[in-house]
Amino acid sequence: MTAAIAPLQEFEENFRRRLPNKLIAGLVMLACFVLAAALASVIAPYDPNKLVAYPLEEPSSTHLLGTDPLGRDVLSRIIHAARVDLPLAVTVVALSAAVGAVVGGIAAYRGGFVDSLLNGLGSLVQAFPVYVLLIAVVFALGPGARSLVIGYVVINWVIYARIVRGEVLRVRGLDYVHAARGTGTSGVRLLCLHIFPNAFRQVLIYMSSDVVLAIGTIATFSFFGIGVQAPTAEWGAMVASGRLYLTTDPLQAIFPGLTMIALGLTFALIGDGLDDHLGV
Amino acid sequence: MSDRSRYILRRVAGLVPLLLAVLFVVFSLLQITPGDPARAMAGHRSTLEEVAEVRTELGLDRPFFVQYVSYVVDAAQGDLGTSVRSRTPVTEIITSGIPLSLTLIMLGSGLAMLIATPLAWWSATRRDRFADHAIRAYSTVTLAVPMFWTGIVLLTAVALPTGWFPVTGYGGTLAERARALVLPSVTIAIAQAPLVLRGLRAEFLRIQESDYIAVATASGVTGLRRLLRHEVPNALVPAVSLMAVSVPYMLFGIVVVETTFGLPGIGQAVTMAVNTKDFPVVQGVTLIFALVTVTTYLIADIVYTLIDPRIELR
Repeated sequence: MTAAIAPLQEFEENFRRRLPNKLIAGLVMLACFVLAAALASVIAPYDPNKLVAYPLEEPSSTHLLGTDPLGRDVLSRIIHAARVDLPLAVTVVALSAAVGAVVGGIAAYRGGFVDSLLNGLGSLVQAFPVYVLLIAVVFALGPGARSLVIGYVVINWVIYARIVRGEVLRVRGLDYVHAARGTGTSGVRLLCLHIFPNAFRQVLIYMSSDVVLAIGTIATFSFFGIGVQAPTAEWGAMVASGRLYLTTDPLQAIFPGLTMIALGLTFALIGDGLDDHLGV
Repeated sequence: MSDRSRYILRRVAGLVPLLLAVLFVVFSLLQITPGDPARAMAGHRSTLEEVAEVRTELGLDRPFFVQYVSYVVDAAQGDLGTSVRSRTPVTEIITSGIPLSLTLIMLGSGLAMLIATPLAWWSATRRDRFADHAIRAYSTVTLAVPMFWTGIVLLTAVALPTGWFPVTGYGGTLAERARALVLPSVTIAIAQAPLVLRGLRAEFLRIQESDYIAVATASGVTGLRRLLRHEVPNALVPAVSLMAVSVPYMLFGIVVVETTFGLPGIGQAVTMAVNTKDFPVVQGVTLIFALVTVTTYLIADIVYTLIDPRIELR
């Protein structure tokens, strides 16, 4: 009996021991952010868009982080902004990865002309400095979150396509894929069941560091006024509105930035942890 | 003709279709705009005549393909159109912004190297000890800090209390301009340094374990002399290529920094054009930035083959 149980315990211990602290810390922080975003209307002391006090009040017991230039509660706006920034950052990265995976998978699987065509398309996108092209696309489509998502996927799918293409080509040559093909597994089934899951590891690691960049970029675009539009609470836009009052009330611009950095660090920790855990 | 010159010629010739495609993308920006771009540019209060005037001026009343060809022909002659706001030729707006933006890029990357090189060396020398972990944590943290926010913090924490640097704007005299460039360059350097730091640390680790350093140490070359004569020069070649790869980010960096600090370079020109719906300027700057990126990559590739003749010329 013990002989049968021992390997299982060993496996469990290994599994537990191997989860790096960074990954656990990152996941706990992420859980806090997700909870705060989900329960924003319960946690936040005030309505983020209501004028609840005089403009630019200093932090006090009634308004922990003070009020903004219109008299809205800064803390409530920061909490509510998590409902905008967090899903937006995750969405743009997930969509880019999905589009990239499909394109990269097709390129690697079909090879030949299709591969060169898709590769050329990728080189064309990379001929532009990424975020400058994003500015141009968002500008052309008109400011707002929807344009930001579309533009982001347009500039960002290439890296995922390149990763997936490389991984698929690598995995395709491995023995178990030959074996599966030998037993008559069809093309699509082979790609979805045997090849993609193995290519997924690299993509996942890259995605978590990509979210860090996405959070910063979304905030930057909103800071410029072409991202998330007023009156929606968004960290970058809050910094932009606070920037006019730096002499009298610098905290206006500082607090939303700190929150955004904390979220970025969360994903950086998850990425580093995943890299330690899954990396080769 | 040698293999190398044939390679360079082929690479340069390969740019032509890429540039045509780049021009097509930039040109198409006008086409993906929802609604009537002429109307958007003329402004909300414009009369029908004014809208029609803008449309004719931009050639929007001609067939798509004709418009594209004439856009390419004009661009090849250095004519990128005229700003619909200031009525200045786009090329003039760009060339007047170049000196400032280029200075910022050079100061920013120079400063980034000055920050990154000692930190990378220290981190590699103290591998897996406290300093190493601290320095690597620094590079992770700074990646999560957007440049516009670094700029705002520097303004709040340095410019306002000391009064040494202007909060916004450029100034007329050389001294004023020099002071206006300090904080923006520091902002770029803070964002740029961690990107170079990681690569440089790996490079120093490789060098410190290499045979020639062992030989140098054995023959009595130690301390500062070994560092400056053997370690740093060998790490610098990869460092320069790391900088080349980061040029596209640098270009976005000057957009952010010039906008945050109110400096009249190409970067601010593009955000101002975005906010005033000035299509020709946005198109022109996007095109120029793409040209810079493509050229940088090409030069980097060619320089590689010159530095290391073993690289296969494909």
